[in-house]
Amino acid sequence: MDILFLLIPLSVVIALFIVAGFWWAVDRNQFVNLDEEGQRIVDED
Amino acid sequence: MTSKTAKAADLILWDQPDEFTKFSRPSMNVFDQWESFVRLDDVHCASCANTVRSALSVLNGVDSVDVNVGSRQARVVWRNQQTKPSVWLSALENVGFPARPLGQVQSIAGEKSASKAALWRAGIALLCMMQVMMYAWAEYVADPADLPADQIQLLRWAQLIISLPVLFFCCQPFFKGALRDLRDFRIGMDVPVAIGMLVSFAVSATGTLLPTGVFGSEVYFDSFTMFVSFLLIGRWLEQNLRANTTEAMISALDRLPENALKLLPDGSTVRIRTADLKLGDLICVGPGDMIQADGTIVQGRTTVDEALLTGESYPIPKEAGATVIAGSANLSGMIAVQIERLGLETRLGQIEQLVREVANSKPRLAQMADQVAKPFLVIVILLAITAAGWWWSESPAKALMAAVAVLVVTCPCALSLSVPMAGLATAGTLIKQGVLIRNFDSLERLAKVDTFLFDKTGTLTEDDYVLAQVVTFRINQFEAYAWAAQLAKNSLHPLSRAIVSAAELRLASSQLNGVFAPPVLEFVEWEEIAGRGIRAVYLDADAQPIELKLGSQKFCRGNELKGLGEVDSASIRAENSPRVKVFLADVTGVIATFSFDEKIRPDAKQTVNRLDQLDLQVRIVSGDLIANVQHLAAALGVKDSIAECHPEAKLSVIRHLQNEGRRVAMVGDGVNDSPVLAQADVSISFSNAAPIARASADLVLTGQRLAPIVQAVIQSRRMIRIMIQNLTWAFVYNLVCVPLAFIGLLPAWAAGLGMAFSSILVVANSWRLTRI
Repeated sequence: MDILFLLIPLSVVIALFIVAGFWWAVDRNQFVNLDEEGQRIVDED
Repeated sequence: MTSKTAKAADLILWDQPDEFTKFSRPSMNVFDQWESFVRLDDVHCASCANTVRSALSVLNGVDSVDVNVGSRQARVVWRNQQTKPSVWLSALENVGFPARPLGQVQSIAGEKSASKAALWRAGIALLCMMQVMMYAWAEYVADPADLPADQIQLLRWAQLIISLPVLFFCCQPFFKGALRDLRDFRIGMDVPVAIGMLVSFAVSATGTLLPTGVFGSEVYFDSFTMFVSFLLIGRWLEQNLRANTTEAMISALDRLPENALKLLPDGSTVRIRTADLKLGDLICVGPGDMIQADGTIVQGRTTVDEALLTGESYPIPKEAGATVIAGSANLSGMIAVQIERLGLETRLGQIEQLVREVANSKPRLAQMADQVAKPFLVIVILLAITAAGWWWSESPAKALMAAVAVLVVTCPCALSLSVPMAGLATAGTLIKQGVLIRNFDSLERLAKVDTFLFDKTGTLTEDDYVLAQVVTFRINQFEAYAWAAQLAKNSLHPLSRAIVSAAELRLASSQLNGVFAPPVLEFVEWEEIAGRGIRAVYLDADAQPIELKLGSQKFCRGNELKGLGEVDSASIRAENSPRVKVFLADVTGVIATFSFDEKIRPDAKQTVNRLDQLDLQVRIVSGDLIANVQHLAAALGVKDSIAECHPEAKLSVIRHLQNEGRRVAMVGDGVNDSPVLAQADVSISFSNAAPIARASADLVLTGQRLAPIVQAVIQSRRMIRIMIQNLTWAFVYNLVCVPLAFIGLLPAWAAGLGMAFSSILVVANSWRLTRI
């Protein structure tokens, strides 16, 4: 089970990346108007 | 420049009158006093509000401060001579609550960005919580000998590292809030929670780094991240619901278009910003557009929808000469409108001001709840310390976690937040139905009202009269019209307006025929006496003063039927029809009578019925003649009515009822009623009533219908019920959960879940008020 000593720290790093990714998405207002995004396709402009 | 002085330099910009009027308005009563509205993003509990209040009240020149936690807005009343916006704005910075002046657009943007931050924090906490749980799970399910010690350490280290973002980013609002409170020696809502977070993380960290230390080797990272997540989800939901109610309230009125088409003298149009329009400008509004200002149509005809303001969505035809209001939708045709009122002066703007005022006031129940919340928090901390002391001998780690559970499970937010939320939700719903409230106390009083008094003229009947008949004595019809119209010209009374418009029609045609030229009377004295009539004096050709009276029969009684022949008096007495009559008299006596027909409001009967069904006693109180009032009472099914009531008599009717222990609501309109409205427990008037009445009324109806009154009563009763439900829940929940936590039966994660659940429940309960 020595592989755990690689896997666990690796998973911690990946988790931190995911956290950063989520922060990036929220910062760019991607979660603000969830309904409007679907509508955008149908809009005239 | 340091950032502090840069900020100070920014704030000074607000001292210019051009700038501070963007978020302030002059006070109605006191000279040089201003009311400013600002947004405080960081205020979220009663003690934050207290900090703000005390920081500002000590400043010279600040008269009062109202803070509303639910909407995160504050209203500051200050004197321009003694202080400046930069002074109190920087005081707010210094105490840790930076304020943003509340312009029209900013309030909504502010809510949205607060909502975004709350989402970010909740999301990250959840992510980290799941990861931590994954690592912690191994230790839960393993038998004691299964996991080698170094693997256990590895897993714990993983938990610690993933918990770090939670501690440093997600817990920030709680730590900031707690620090602020402690700096001012107050215990706010955040203090127990922040302590809980720090302690649980510290215990878990030492458990990982120093397993043989005094705090044992247990780790609680999973509990820590879990309760932080739950708390943050609760906060995010609160934030959203709050944003929805205030946004609904303010943005319902805040949809004026940014640009307008200005009509130039040469007939061409240019597109300019709505903000740059001036009074008297002509604007072109096409079909499908929203009208940008209050004004009169000078060209074109169309139908408009004034639903935004009146709640009634049907097309209203408008022609040249008709008035239109900002915020209404132009439906069918192209019109040119001359601007009469802009911005805050428009009806839309006035209503918006009222809405802001409401958003800043606090229900009395909320103030009571705040008072309880303060000592409550102190007790909670003491209990936590006691719990720690109680269990210390058994295991310091367990003792601390029990303390953490106590700190986290208590939910003072149910006390401080739920009541203002309920108030805001109710106010928002009522606005959509066409009722504006001045402050929440009036809603609370409305819920307890048992008697409804209605004025007749202009309230149960519509503002308009139609002149039906003119009978003259000793003068001819034209003279009667001319003199009456001149007397009535400056009066706002509906009867005066009817006389003036009827006279204009009648005299216009006679002028064209050259039959009669109406004399222009120059009055040396003119006065309108509420409830009785108009008295004026003019000088005739020989510079002799001639007195004319236009009003009720009693008013002209001094000039009673002297010198009239038998025939004339008989014909007056025979005219005992239920019509409203106005008499024109000079020193010789009555020289003309004007008879009017009045229109009953279409929904008056239905409103009276429904109020009856709600167990309310309905009465009509009017200054009009007995015959007229009884006629109306019979038509509406009202059993009690009092007629020929001067304003003083109306006042004493109300006082008498109040002395009997009844709670009285008065619905009125017109100059007659304003002191009477003030005496009633709750006063209701229409928004196009004479300005004085509008200023004293607790509830203002924006449309022309009476039915919203019933809704207001129903909603106010619901609001009280829900506020009491919330407070009851808050007490019961704390009473049950705190002992459980004390005994140690409540793990920290369950405490967090409980607190989040409790605050969500309370907010959701308040949200029920937004549904009809």
